[in-house]
Amino acid sequence: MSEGIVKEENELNIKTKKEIVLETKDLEKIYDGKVHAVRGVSFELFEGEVLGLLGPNGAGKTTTISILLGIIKKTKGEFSILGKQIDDFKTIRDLIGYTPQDLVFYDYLTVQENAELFADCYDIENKKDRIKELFELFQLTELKKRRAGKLSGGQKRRLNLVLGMLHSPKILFLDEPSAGMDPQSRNILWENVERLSKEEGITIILTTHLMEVADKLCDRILIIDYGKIIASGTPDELKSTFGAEEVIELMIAENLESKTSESFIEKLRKRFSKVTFLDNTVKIFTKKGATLITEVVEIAVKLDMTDFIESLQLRGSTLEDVFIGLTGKSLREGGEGD
Amino acid sequence: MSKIRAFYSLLKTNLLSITRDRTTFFFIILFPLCFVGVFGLAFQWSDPLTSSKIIGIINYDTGIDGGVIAFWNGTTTVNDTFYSEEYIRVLKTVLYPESNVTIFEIQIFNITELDVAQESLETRNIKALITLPENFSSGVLAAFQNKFGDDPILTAATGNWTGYPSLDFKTIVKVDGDSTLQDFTISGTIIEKITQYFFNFGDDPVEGVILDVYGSLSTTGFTVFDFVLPGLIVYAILNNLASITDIAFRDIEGGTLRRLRISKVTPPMYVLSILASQMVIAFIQIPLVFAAGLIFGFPASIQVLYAFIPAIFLSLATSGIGFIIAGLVKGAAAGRGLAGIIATPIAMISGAFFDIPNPTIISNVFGNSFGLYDVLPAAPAIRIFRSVLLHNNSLASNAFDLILLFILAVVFLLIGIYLYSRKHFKPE
Repeated sequence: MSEGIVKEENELNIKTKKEIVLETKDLEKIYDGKVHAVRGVSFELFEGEVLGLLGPNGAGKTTTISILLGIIKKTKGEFSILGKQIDDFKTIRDLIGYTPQDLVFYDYLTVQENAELFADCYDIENKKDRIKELFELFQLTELKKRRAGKLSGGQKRRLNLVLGMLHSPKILFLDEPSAGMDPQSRNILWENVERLSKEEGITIILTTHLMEVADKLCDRILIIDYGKIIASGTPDELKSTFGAEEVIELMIAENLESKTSESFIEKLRKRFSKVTFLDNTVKIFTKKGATLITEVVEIAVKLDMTDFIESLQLRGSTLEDVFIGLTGKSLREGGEGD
Repeated sequence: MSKIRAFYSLLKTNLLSITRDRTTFFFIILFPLCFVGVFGLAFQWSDPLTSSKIIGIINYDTGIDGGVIAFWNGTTTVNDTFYSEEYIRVLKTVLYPESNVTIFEIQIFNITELDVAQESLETRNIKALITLPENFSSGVLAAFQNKFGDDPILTAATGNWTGYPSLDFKTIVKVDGDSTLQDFTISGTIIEKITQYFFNFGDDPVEGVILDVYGSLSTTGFTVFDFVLPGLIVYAILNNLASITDIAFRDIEGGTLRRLRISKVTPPMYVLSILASQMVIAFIQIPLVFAAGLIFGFPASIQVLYAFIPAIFLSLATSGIGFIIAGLVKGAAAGRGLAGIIATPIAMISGAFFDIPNPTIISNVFGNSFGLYDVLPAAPAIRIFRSVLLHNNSLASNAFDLILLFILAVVFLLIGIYLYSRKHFKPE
């Protein structure tokens, strides 16, 4: 991870006098003395910020969140919420909200009954008003008498989210909140998450596989792999700091001999500093894409493989490019969570 | 106030999980009623008595002077007469209706063998123990005098003889046994009828003879179904194991327990809500099973109200077993399966449907035998339900079993909650 980026961010937040609501130092989780799920994760979360945790499956995102929620015991390290070291999670129940990646509610209860149950579990005084407000916001009012188990996937996701927000938490953990959602529900979700973050000052920690969402929604992003933070910064910072503003992308036909494709990648890597090859797609990260694209074509011609290039394009780099560049993996591979 | 609201919401959620889930509703409410129907149809109108019951007798009868007998029946014998022998002969020879099978197989114990007889009773080698007192024969004579004293034929035969026992003479025939056992219930009823017949010379009850039966046997007798119904109430409550493990595993697997854990819900509140829901279910089951039993001729009694107290304890103990399963078994499917099949064997070996043969007695506590099966909460519960519902006994007369049931409930609950909390409430 780039220490420079973190330093700059902290300085920025100090300048804007934003309060640190959550701070972790060297968090570690080792299962059975062998499996190192989280390795020295340290970060700060500022009030009203939307922080994205990105990482491939098994990277340690959900484990990190679970430690912060008190569901999983940390092996080492410490963390504080609103300046207080957390030893007893009972003291922070009001402050934190959680929307797990699984759909967690009672299928046999109606939407309204589920909301009332969890509102009572948080001892919300004006629960009817709060439920009404959130139902309107997430378009669940019409569905409130329907059994939760009979909702569509997107509707269930919205209910799942509402249940974590009933008590107006200071920090909201959203673990893959839009997994399996239809585009309409996803839009409602993100619009309102953004709105709540701004209007209610809710600080959000979000894990998602949707890079475009993370790019649009997150103020800051931590990229985690093998339990470690490997990069951190605003989406723009990450894209530029990675050393590329442009990407040359080639799709290679599946029937190209592996010997040729290996030779092609080898030659590209000798010529360019950052090249990735995943799922028959070659990405070359560069600041001079328009100039260098001809060199790429020349290499392909020399290897007599132009007929096997299905597409070639020059485009601006995305977070996904950064992610693949850093981890060598696609964020979407292998399902939803870790 | 806040805790009460959360508790009420969780309780409501647990109860709705039963009423809104057809499978659970069937297992918890309809399944026990089906059992009542099956047992009712099978046993209520059929003759349950098919085999000889082994009963023991200790005979302390010292008989009466043969001269007395000679005096009033006109014979000249002077041998002492033992009416107890005639009584035993009657018991030995009485047959099942329209059958040549004797109802009783008699085992006579010597008067020095009281301990052996009581041990046989405890281990259920004998189903009842009749103790005939020293004055048994005098009692017969007194009964005769009371019944026929004014008969002119007898007066003519005995003249002014004054050798009869006095009119207020009492003889006490004691019948011991476990009133919660089907065999004793049936045997005791028949013994009572035969004894009354014997002392009454075939007519109404006679003064001067006291039949002291442990517990109070019904004068109308019991059927197998009457005996089984209290066991079915216990079985219904035991069957709630499926519901408890279902709730526990539902919250673990569905992730709702995690969600509840990060809310203000405390582990005690969560556990209490499950316990309370089980008690509510038990309170619904008792009147339902009882009402179904009435249809099949179970004797109606206000005593059913007493059943709610042991039902609370049994429900708590059952919840404890449910938590033990949820705390030990890894997968939900295995847990649910185990809970589903465990209730029936527990009910069976506790004697819910049929008597347990020769139970191993571990110790004797305050004069009450504590058997191997008594570690199962269903065993004392069944005894209490039978005693209360069949014999109209009070809860006070079942104090030992009630205390035993309470202790078992506390022990099972503590173990269950400990195992469940350790596995599912502590951070991983």
